[in-house]
Amino acid sequence: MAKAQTINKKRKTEEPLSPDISSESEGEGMDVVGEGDESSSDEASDEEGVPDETGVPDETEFAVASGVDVDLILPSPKSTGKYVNKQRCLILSSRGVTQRQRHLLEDIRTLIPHMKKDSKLDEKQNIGAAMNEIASVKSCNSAILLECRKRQDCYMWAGLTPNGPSAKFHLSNVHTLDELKMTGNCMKGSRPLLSFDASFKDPEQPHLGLIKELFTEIFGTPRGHPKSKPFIDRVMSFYVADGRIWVRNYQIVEEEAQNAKEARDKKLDLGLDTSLVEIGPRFVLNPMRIFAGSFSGQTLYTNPDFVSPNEIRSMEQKGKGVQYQSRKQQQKDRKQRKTTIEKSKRHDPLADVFK
Amino acid sequence: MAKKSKSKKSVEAIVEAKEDFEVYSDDEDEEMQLENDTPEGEEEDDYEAEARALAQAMREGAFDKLVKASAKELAVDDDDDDNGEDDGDEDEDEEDLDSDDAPPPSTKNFINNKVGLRAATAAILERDLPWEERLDIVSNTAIDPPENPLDTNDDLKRELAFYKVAEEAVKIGKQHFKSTKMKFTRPMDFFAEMVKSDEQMAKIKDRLIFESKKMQAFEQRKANKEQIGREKEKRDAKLKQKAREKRDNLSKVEEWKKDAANNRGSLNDNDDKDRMDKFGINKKRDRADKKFGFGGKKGKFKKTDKKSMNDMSSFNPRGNFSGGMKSSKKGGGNAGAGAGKRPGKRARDSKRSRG
Repeated sequence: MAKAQTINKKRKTEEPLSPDISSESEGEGMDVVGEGDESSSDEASDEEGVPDETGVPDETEFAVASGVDVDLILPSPKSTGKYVNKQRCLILSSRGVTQRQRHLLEDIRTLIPHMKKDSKLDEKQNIGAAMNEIASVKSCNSAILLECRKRQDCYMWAGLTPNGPSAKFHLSNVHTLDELKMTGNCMKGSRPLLSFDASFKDPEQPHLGLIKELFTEIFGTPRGHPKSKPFIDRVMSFYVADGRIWVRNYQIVEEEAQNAKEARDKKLDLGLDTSLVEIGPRFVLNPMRIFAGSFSGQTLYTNPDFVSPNEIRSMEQKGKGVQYQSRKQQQKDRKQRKTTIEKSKRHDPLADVFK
Repeated sequence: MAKKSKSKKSVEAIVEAKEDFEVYSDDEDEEMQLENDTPEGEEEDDYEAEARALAQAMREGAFDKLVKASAKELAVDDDDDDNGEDDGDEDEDEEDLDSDDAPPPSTKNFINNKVGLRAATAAILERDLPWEERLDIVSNTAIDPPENPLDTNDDLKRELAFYKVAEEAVKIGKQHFKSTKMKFTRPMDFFAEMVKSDEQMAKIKDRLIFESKKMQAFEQRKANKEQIGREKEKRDAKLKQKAREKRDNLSKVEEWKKDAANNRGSLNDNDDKDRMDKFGINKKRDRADKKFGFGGKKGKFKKTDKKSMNDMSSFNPRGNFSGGMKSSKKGGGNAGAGAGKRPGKRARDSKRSRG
């Protein structure tokens, strides 16, 4: 256990700003703002020793014994199991959404039991104000907006209302729940485990940390929500690859005990196999911009690698134009060359003698 | 994925196209510079004058207000300086702006306000929810680490990497649930509405069955094809063998002919038997020869002569012909050898039915 503690302490001093400080004390949070006093972090780590000794010592011991990294889950204040975390998420799309995107929207709605829906948004200019207003009417504190442009490009806004932050993503590679390749199934409203890959705690990429927090707020089902189920049967996972965020949703399939021995193993948690089956939807989000406010406000981050689909299309067109121009140029050159060759031919005085 | 790769290609095409453009524009720039060579000195003087004026204004405090107003933003800028990648971009941009009054190729200024991002993250985390409310797990494995980048176009590899991270997260989550004595697995008798309807699941099942059948049929076809091929091979080999034997025999005959022609007239002429022995014995022929004799005049063999005419040894007076003294029960007594013989079929049948 002491080992576990030292690991925690070490980690804190090294990277106190890492985004997986999810369940640490408030003092840490203040430190993040950049006051720069070293003492607060020390205090925090001292405080942290307390629950280790009194509250949940078994857990860390167990984790160390089983070779799982302790710092993935930090000791935190205990949840009472009551419906405390009252989240409501507004989910809607803009007008002109395509069929596939509409299906995705419906899928997200089925997966998020704490959602509120509203009719399609018909506001192009001042999305922030409109969203804030709807959210306040529906008493939501977070929102997802699928914004569709030109009936082909889809952008997903995700943010907290009314104070932000919020992020805008370019949505691509959408596969919905209806696809027959996704063979998994889960309870409606079951709480997902939210799995993030290591990039989300990279201190060099704080925008990913922020996105992680946004997703935990939005996709995590509050404990004890009336529509939620008390068991876990799915894991929603987010990965960063190729500079984009890939989203997958898996069912957790636990093998059932076939005989008494297996039943005993299961009881002792010696690990009957759990496997994952994809439920869907799957999609890829390319972060474009992160705003300090909700759906508006100061820009905190822009993605340098993002090329807008409009630009790609126009460049494609331009490329075609260049092709045409070069062909025309070649034709012209050839003609010129021919004429110069014709001209430069030496005059043959006897050329028409044998005609 | 095809779609994606396509877009990638197009981006490459764009880059190429851009380069082409740059090639053209470079030439133009050179020409421009040549033209502008003469008034350069004057321009420099202008710049210096401007700079002097600006410095004067600053001394007088014309910009103090602005500085105060945007102190926050300036702080942001300072932070930007920490960031190596962006720094380079900005420098280039500035150079562009300074060097010419022509519009620079890219005026996009990428923002990565790390302090702001961290502050926003911390603001979300201020609520300090226990882990049981959030269920977020950050893995230690990065999907796309810079030292070992993931090929996102390779579907199988990518999904496997995703699966592994999610599986790990489930393991950790499960342990944590166990340590806090929260329920994880759904009991068998807990019925709940599922995300996918029964019809949908039936469709999925049908598809799975169909798929497996398709696979089976494919395997079957493959096996059949193989079988056919093997048989054909066998047949071919057999035919070849036969043809070879025939050829060998013929060559032997030829050889024999030649030898025979050479030896004609000599004493040791009739060693045919030795040669014939080379072919092996035809058993059928051999037996027939033994039985019927070999060679001799054909016609004479069947002709009746005096001796054969009087030879009655082969005549059987109780022979099986009409008028012959065929044995019967009636004439049993004097029928001699024929008396104890087996009765005819009808008699036997009738006897059996009676008995």
